[in-house]
Amino acid sequence: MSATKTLSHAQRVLRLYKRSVRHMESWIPERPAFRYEATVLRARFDEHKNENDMKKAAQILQAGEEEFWEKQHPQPYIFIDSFGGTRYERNIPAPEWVLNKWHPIEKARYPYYFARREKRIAEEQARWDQLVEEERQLIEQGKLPPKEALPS
Amino acid sequence: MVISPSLIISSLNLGILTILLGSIFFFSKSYFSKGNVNFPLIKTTSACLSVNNDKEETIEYNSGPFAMAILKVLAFLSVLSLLVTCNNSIQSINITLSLWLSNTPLNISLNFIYDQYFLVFLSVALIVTWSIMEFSFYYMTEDPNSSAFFRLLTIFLLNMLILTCSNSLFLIFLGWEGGGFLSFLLISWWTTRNDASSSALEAVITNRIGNIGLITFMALSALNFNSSNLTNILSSNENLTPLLPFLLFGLILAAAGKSAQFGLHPWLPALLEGPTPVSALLHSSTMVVAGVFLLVRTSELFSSPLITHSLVLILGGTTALFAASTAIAQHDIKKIIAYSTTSQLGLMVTAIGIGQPALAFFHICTHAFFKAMLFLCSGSVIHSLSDEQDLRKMGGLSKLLPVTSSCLILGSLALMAPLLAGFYSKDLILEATSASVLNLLGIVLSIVATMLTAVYSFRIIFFCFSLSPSCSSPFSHSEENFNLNNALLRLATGTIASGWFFSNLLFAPPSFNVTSLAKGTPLIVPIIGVAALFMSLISSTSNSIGSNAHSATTSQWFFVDAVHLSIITMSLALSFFSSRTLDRGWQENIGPQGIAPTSTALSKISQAGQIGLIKRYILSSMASVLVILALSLLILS
Amino acid sequence: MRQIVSTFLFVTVVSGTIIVVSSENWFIIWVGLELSTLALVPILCSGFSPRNVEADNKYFLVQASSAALLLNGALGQAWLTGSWSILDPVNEVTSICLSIALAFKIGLAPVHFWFPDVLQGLPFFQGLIIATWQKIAPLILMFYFSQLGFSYLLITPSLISVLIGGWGGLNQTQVRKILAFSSIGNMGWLVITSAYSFNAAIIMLVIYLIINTSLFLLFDHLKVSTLGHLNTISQLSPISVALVLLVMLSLGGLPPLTGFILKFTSLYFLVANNFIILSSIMIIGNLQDYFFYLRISFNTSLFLFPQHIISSASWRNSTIISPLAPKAWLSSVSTVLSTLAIPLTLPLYIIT
Repeated sequence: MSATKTLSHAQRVLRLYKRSVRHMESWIPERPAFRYEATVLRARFDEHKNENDMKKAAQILQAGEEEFWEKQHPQPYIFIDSFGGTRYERNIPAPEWVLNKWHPIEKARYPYYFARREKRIAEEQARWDQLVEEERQLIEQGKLPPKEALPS
Repeated sequence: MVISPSLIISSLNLGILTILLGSIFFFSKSYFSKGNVNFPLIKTTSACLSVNNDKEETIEYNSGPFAMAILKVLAFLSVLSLLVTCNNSIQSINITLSLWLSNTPLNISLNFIYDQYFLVFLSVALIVTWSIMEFSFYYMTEDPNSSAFFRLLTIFLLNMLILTCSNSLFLIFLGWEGGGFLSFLLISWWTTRNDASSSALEAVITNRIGNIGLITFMALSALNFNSSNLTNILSSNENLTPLLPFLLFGLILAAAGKSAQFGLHPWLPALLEGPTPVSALLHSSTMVVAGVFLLVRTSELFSSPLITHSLVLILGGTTALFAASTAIAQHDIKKIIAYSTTSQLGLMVTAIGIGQPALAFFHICTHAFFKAMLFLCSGSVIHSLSDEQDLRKMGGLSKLLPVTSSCLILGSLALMAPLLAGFYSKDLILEATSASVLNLLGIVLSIVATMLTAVYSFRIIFFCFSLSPSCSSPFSHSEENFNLNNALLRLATGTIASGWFFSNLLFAPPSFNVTSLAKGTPLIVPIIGVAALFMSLISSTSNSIGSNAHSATTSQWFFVDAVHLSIITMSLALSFFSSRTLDRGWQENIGPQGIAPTSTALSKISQAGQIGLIKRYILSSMASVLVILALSLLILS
Repeated sequence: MRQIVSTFLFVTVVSGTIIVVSSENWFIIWVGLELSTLALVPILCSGFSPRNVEADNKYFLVQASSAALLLNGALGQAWLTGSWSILDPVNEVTSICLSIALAFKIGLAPVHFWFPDVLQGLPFFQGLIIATWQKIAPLILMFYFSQLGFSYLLITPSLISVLIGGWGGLNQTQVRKILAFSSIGNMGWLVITSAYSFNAAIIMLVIYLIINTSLFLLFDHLKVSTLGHLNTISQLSPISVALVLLVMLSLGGLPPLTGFILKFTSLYFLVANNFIILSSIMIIGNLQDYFFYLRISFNTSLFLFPQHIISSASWRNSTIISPLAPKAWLSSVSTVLSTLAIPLTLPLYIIT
């Protein structure tokens, strides 16, 4: 996957719309007022929805992006768990597979937990095997299109 | 009287310090019934020392409840010693415990001073920390490593108390550095967060700049007064004129670094990456006032040159205005409060600039109560909204969080309504500013800052409580936690009563002759500010979008961007130059490429002497002795 | 050697030193020095290997010639002043004679050549006697002597020996030679301090003797003769890794360890007497010492050399010494003292 892709016109319009709505939400904390403004904004986008002349459409998009740049919010609202948010990366839990690496002596401290965990892993494995088997049967019966490489 | 009050006070205070030191090493034991399925994953990281799987309960060791109990006892003890001081009007007690390094020309001793400043600060700090500790037991329950957190808070408090009670510059430096280091650890509490780590680094680096100032002061006073004892330095009769500017420069730089004055301020808002109790304890009530406290302690040095006063005044006024103007357009609730702290610190420095250190200290004490309470309120809001900090996502909380919202309103009002804590000190500072003859700029700056204070305070209230609810998630927590409510209500009591208590019973506030206009200013100006805020809020729904003024204040007047850009450009240029001349120039040739071959060659030469023949050993010994003798005779004769 | 003979010899060595330290008559001092030297000679060659005997011969020759020089100086002193007392002011010539004799005995720089060679030829335990006990008597004399005031004759050799100690040790792989050169460097520090403060020099002597004793005893226990043997320490005796590391750093003068006081005391007195430039030269010399101390520490604790399976399993063959053996007791006490005794040095400091 290359790092930069040339966006198509439609993608640019959609991204501009999303960003504009988000920044407008940041500007106007009151929900009713924001909804009104958002509707107006949507109307402005819809106005040129059916523009067929690509040259003109590109100009409108250019103008829209410039207007967005002028009016963007200096501190847009960031969802707390997304990049840059206030809870992003806080106390990342250790992944579950870390428990696989535990030494038997360490595991022996929590016998009940690990007994249950072993059982759960076995159940999970059985369920997966069952699913794979069902799918294979469906393919053999012709109800599903064949897949390339199923685990045999 | 057999037991003198000074004996009581000194033993109480030494005991408090000792108990605090000891309490770091203890846990409290609590029992939990077992039933948690994900037990190992959650609990392995916490301080779970012994698990008994056969029983239905597990034992958990946590330092939180113990620290809370200890701080409660210590707070009562400190109030006791404060009351003894009240009754007996003790000036200051000076205790020298032992000599640290004797037999050197510079006597470094463990020297404590228990004066009124320290005694008041001790009580305030202990009560505030007790409340914050209680609060953090509520706030940090879900943290995997909370036990260490309480311990760090305790160690931090200890450092702060050492800083305030010591008379020896080395102990002051110990507390100063300890506070900086602990703040580093606490800001980067969520070490997995990239932002937290970089903020912690920023704080440490800025504190280093402040340390340069303190070290300058220490070195110059050791050189000049031959003493590390603050009392000796202040009361010394030596002629200071040639060194005084440097001493004062060191002090002001130290205070500006630690107390986040303009130019070195960006670390204070960045610190909000830490948990809210950390912000409440370190960055509002204790650590950031260390710089102001140092200035208060050394204020006698400031007496002579008037220009220093003006400098400090302008520094404080600029900070106050800058921070207040930035605070009015922030959207993170903690950031608003942090900038408000910076603004109040500016006001304290202004008070020192007009030559009223006692007023600055008075403001420290009252500020500690209401600012800690404001932070705890914001923490309560944040916790209730499951870690949502953005002001725009709050709204209509007054029905959901009645105690928090009333405390928040109280804290915001504390600066502008008469009879609340902040008003006492702030009113006095403004009065003193208008009564002083120093300059107009300081007065204007501080009065505008006062107006903006009202604006940002009411902005929080408006956003949090008056709008319709706009929180995204369903409401998860309620306020029914004693640790939260007790802490908030205690601090609220402090906010209401402390101004009255301190001004009537402890400090004797100076009186000023001011016109009725100047007297009315602190009351009128906030009202103008609030009116302006409501006007702008009513008229601004859509037409403020993209306004340049708003963007500029929100981005902190582009201070950080400008400074970063210029500093990076400059240091890149300098480092290019230095790497060409030093690292790849003469330094490399002399240093690594020069010393190593030289000493290898010399070592080989001296090794050649070890041939194992005793005749030659004695011969060469005698020969070299003769050479030395001949040379020394030639030189000496 | 029969035990009764060796005991007798040891007692003679000890009493020789005591005679020297407690008398103020030059002749008696000479007698004491000779007594301890002559009694030490049989002890040193008790192993009776050729290398051992060679080192013993060198030791005897050097000591005998220096004793002759000392007696010569003492005679001259007696002839000039009419008394044997060491408290009498000294003449130029006699002072030169006496100080060269003493410098020979402790191995100061221009006359230091014999010392690494002799130490290399001896086992660690005998080397311990030469490097510590045999230094006491001449050093104490030297300290007295420097009070009589002819400091340039002491300061120049001491400075040279600090530097030579550093340079000599840099290129060594033999542990005993390294110890010898570090000893030469430290002798320089001691003598140069004694020119300014007798008490400080005594403190330094005590601390240095303790650290050196613990080091020699440790290496004796571990039987490491070259740097290459150091890496087996972690297999032979894991605790010793920490001990060697700490004692080495203490000898170098790292602050929380006892050896720091050694350097601190010395530099404090030197700087107080405006001896700043020369003391910085001494620090440079000590830095070179520190380099090879660190080399020993690294080889002991941080590096893992590629090695054969037999050598990595050699701990199976190591003899476990009983914890009650006097050597183990002595080495543990001296190790503790040489690393953790910094609080004890403070009263030492106040008393003197």
